[in-house]
Amino acid sequence: MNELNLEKAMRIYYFLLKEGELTFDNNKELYLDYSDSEVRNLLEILARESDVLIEKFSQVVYLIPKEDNDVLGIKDMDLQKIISYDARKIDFYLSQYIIVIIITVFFSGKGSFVKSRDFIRITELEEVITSRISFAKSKKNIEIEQEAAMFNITEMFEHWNALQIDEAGRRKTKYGYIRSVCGFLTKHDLLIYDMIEEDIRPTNKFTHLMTYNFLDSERLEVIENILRRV
Amino acid sequence: MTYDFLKDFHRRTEIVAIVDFITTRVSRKTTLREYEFSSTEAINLAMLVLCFIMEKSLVEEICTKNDVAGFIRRLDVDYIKKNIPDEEYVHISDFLIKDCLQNGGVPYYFSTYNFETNKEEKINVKLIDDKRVYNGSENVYSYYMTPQGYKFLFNTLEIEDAMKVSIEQFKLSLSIKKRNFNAARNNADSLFNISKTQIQRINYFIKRVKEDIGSAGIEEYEKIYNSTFSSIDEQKEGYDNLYELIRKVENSIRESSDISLNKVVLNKEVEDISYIKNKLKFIINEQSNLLLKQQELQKIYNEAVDNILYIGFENRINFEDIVTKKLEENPALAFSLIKVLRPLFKPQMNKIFNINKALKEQRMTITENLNENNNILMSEKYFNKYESENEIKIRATNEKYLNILEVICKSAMESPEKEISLSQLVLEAKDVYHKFVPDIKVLTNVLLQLSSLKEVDFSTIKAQKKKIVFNPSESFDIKYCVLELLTRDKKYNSISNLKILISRKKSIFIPEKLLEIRTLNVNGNSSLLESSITECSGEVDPSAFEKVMGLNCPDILFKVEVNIV
Repeated sequence: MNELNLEKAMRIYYFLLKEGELTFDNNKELYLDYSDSEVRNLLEILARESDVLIEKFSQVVYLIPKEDNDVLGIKDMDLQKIISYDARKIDFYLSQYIIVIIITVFFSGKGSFVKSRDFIRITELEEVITSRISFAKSKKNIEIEQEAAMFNITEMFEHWNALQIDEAGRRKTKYGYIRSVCGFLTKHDLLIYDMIEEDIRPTNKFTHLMTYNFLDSERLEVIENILRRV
Repeated sequence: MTYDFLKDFHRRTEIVAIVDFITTRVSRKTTLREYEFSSTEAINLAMLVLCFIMEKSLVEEICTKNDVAGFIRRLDVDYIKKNIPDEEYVHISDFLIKDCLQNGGVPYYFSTYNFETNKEEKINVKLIDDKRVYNGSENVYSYYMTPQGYKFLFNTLEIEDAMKVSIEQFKLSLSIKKRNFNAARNNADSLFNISKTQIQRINYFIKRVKEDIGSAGIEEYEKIYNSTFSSIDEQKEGYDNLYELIRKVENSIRESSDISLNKVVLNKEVEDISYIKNKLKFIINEQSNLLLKQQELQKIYNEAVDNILYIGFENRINFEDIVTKKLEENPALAFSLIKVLRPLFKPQMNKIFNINKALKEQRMTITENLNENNNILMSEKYFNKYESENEIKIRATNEKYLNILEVICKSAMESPEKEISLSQLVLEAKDVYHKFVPDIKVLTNVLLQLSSLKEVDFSTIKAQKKKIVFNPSESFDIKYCVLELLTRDKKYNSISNLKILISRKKSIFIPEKLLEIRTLNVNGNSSLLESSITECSGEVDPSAFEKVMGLNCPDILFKVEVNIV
């Protein structure tokens, strides 16, 4: 092993920790270093031992934390306070739900297309959420009553439905929730959120991660296991 | 196949699909009825907007929703005469672009039948696309034609691509030979447009491959590759021949000019010829760019294809089934969901407080927002929607760049050694100081660019002037500034070269405003200004400069070479 290559690998690793991605444009020197196969092997070791993936998709190198990695990956807390710092449980549920809906809206392409649409206006996203949540609730009603103690979709529906659509300066409105979530996803370079147009669209990063990693059927088992653990 | 004539049926339907797309998008919705547009008027309006976007795309200008609104407004005032209230134009343009032409973000497919493969064929209709651009104060979307959009609009007036080049070339040569220069001018224009679209088509394809390889299949790659590159040598030869022809005609006109024809006609002909010549020159230049693109396209496409090989589209998770629906069943899954989503988010580490940060120089972070420039722009944006705020901003910025360059060139020219250092400039500028330092950011920008250039060759830029049109942009464009400088004052014509040498040892401090320092001087002791600026930055008394914004940078020597005329 060449000590110089270890240095290069370490530098790339540290850069990725800071920036999350490496491209020809954001650091030419490191990007070129990445093409060296020994550097890549070293990076693979670093990645494996710190429970992340380092992968290059469409000319961008990404550092992708694994599912259980809350040391380098995002913390539970960060997701719990998307709506506000004193967020209640219901706020958290809703914010997660909105994220999932955004993913569903953009990435349920069939066939070779991953992306199922280019952009969506905030107003239309609200309609999608409201109609989905009502539909889920109505389905639930037909089914047998759930244990009363458990939080269920009906409560989420009622909370959502009681919210005002929009009010200037207020966060806890339907648009307010959506805007907070979109703002959060934008901070993570997943969405481009234009505040004047009031529309969102996925970034290339979002599309890459979805195409090459997130929706890979190899993750199916992992995801099912995670969601079974409750 | 039962019917041979249906072989290419699916290809015919593309145009039909587009027409259907436009008509249903525009005429089924009631939005435009509110402004008293009948359905045919609405379709006409959509076509007009498409033409406008194409015009902007061909010259590669930014085309925002506000630009389109301005266009509709002008049309309304001059031709349509619906007396639409001013604030409504933006709504109409928003509706036409985003809801109609972009179909609200949802991809549109038209189903037809491919008789050759005996399968259903889906035609994706996407006439315009958008990209994020910076207009001087914020990021906005600029709309441009997709290759399909070009194809459609060209088809409404002109003909198939591959044929078109040779036909247009033929028409041009015919017009030149007949000395019908007016027609030749038009032929040259349409050739110019075709060559523009060729390169844009490739750029668009590259963009899509980078974004989502799934949307850019191998068939399309081959189609683009063949249609653009297979005939390129042939085309290039055609252009070279045309250039040769126009040169001959030009010579013959010049020779015959003493046999005095009508002077006015003659001048017009000469002007037309040089116009055609310039267009051809530009096209030939574009063609060589196209060859460069060929390699880039191959490389990017191959890399992207390598990536797909190990993913396999069929193996994709149906996110809705395995996540969304489960979450709707049981919202409490949100707690585990974090793990599922984690790979999407940026790495986030536990923050450990770095004590050294506390000892670092503390700065106010809000000063930037209070910058009065921003406020002016904000208000202008809202009060004056149809004036392109972008242009105003660009002009103002370039004015500042130009001033800085002028101060540098002027001082260097006037000094006996034909050179001046940055530190001298700061000391001697005095009454032009505000021109030299309009704002630290602008100056920094210019100095950074200049120092990376190291040398500015005035004579080369002058020589390029005739070939290329320079448009001002937000960033400091040395070529544009040099040319503007020459028009400001003839005396700069004598400069042939400007060298920029960076001093490794000496560094200086440039205060944002000279005035403040002077007052400090009066209150403080001795000639603080002189000592602090000429000495190294280490010597600057920090307490005196506490409130002065400024720039610390290495000293730079500007050296001009002057032609003695």
